[in-house]
Amino acid sequence: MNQDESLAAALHEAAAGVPVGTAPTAAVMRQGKMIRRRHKAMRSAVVAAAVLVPAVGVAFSATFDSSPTPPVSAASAAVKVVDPGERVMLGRGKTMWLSGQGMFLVTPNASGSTKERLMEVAEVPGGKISATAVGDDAGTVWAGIYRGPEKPTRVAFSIGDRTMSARIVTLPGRPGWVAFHADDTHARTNDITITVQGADGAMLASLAKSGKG
Amino acid sequence: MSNASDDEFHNFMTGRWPSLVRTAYLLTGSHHDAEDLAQNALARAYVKWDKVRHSDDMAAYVRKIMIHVHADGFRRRTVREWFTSRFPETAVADRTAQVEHRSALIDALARLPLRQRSAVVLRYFEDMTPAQIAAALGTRESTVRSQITRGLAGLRDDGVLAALAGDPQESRTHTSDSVALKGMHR
Repeated sequence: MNQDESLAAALHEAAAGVPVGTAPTAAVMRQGKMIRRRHKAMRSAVVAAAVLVPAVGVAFSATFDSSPTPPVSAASAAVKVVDPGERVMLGRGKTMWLSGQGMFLVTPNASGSTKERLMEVAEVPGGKISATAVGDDAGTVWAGIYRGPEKPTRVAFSIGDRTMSARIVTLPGRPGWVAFHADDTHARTNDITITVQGADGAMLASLAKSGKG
Repeated sequence: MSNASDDEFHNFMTGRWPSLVRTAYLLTGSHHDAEDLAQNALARAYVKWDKVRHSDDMAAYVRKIMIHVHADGFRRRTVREWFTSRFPETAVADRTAQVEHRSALIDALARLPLRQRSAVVLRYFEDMTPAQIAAALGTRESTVRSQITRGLAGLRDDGVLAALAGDPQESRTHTSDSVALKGMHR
């Protein structure tokens, strides 16, 4: 056996000694889907950044009791499972990330720096919604938390005569709460009702807010 | 991606997983890193599965992705740990020569610069021609030939080739203190 053959044989022998388990296909496909979503979000962010006018943020945060279910017409939103600290693009330059503490909303300042605010899940009563909005005349980004034992499958925003579905984001496992976000192309001037629905369509919670307060 | 594509990817991955992990092991020198590398490469293959499935050689395409992922990961790392199966003390008596040679070979490979290591592994483990390696590494064939030559010289300097050929002179003993950090150019 010459040197090349000896080396090839030794490499094969060394490689053959490696224990190889079952292919983690589900994990790899999940990872692939996550990369794909990230690429898509980055492309959206680039487009948004190109047209974004520096915004002056107006925010509010509130927790309210349930109110009647609004009519909803949009399709159900998918629930996205994210890792703690994983950035979620909200649109208009805003991002969020989740941790065991709650939802961190990151908004850009006019100076180019960012401001990070925490919406603590511990401050949201069970079965209730807390939401915040950041926007300007060009539109509004909504983000919030629903805390409850059931995993919602849909969060709907009813604004005047319009209805839109929010995206639902949650941490792995059963954290007992979800975050949601929506990008509205309208300035926040009308009354709004946020409704959280379970898998069977039943309303789990609702939050109503009138005017610009 | 449709269910059919997912099924196709699933079948491809199941079939190629052992081979990719073994190649990744020779590239990384660590079983844990090998599984990470193979997994990351396959996740990227999943992202561009339409391109992969329409390529002439799907296995070669994914192997190429893995080589690039390995190189990218290497570039991002500024400080690398040194994992070794050898300890500063003399090897224990019950180790077989076979295991020692295998361990010495993996250690010596890990001490080669990344490109040389990749070229040697692809040439002698994957049995790829220098032209195929050049295409995979995105470099010239002459560069690959040079990397293989220098890689072999590195293995020879380590005494690994002589040991493989049955030369009574054992491969040099390295300790974790005396060797360069894994992946760092000497």
